[in-house]
Amino acid sequence: MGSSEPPSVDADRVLVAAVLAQAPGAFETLVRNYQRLCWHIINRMVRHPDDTRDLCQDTFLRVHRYLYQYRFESALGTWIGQVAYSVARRHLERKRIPLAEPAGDGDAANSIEQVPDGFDLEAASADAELDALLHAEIEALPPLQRTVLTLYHLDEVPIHEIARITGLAAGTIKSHLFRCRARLRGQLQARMGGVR
Amino acid sequence: MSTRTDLDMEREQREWEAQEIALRAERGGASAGGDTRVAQYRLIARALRNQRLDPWPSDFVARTVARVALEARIASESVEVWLERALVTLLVLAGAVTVLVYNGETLRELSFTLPESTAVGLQTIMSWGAAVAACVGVSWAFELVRKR
Repeated sequence: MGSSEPPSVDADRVLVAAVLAQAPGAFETLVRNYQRLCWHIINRMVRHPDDTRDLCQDTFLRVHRYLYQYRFESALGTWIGQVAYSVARRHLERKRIPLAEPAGDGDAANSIEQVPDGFDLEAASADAELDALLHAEIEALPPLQRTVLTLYHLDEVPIHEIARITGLAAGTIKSHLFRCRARLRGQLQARMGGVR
Repeated sequence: MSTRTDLDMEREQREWEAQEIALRAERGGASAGGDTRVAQYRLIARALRNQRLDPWPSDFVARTVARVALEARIASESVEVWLERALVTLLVLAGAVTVLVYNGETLRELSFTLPESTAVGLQTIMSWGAAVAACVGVSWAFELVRKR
């Protein structure tokens, strides 16, 4: 889950063994491989760049300290993601920022009812106002939902791995994805309805 | 309390499929199709793939590795300092207890002169040698454990 393809399980085993043996450069490789995933999780949770940097460092500090406890029961990226998520969650709890909002059927149910006659994807994509609207709505999502959407869409992490990272059931993750995307479509519909 | 009907579930399933088709189409770079619902979800998927996240600092890896190395060193040193203090405290306490219990008698009886007979001298040297070897052994074992 680095900048391109995630390292293979075998490569992770070799890397973990090298870090535990304190091989020169091994831990640096581990950080390089997983900094993107860690940064995305924490940045989507807390959003503040300075906090993100500090919490990412805390995450890798914990990874370094507790790597001997890692038993390869999940991918190394998932394990590091779990650590990053719990570090960010504790930070939000300390600041009394709610992690998620209670699931409500209203927005999602309303938006899926309405389907306009036509929609020009490329024209809509070039519309700066729509683009700004969608980004603002994504930013306005609660930390958990924002993180789940980012992991699924941007980092292409499968649902079962997001479930492991967050400690939630796969069904809950699916529900968050479904409702958030339906809600975003509802907001898109509302804006398009005003335009068309 | 409302219950979800089969119709609701069917509608949600259709919506979920549209979301997933849109996601796969965006990942694969497929051309825009005719389904309005999917096209709208493609726009959302595109926005999600182009989120404006804060970039991580270019020196993040170097700084993180340096911080981890520093914290590991501090943790290791603090264990050594703690052990050293504990040993010194124990020694002082043991001395104080000895003085209190034996009322200074033992201290007066202590003699640091070399033993007169050769046999006793050899025995003393051997026992002190064993003690020194034990100390060296314990230090070496501690160092080995610490490195692991």
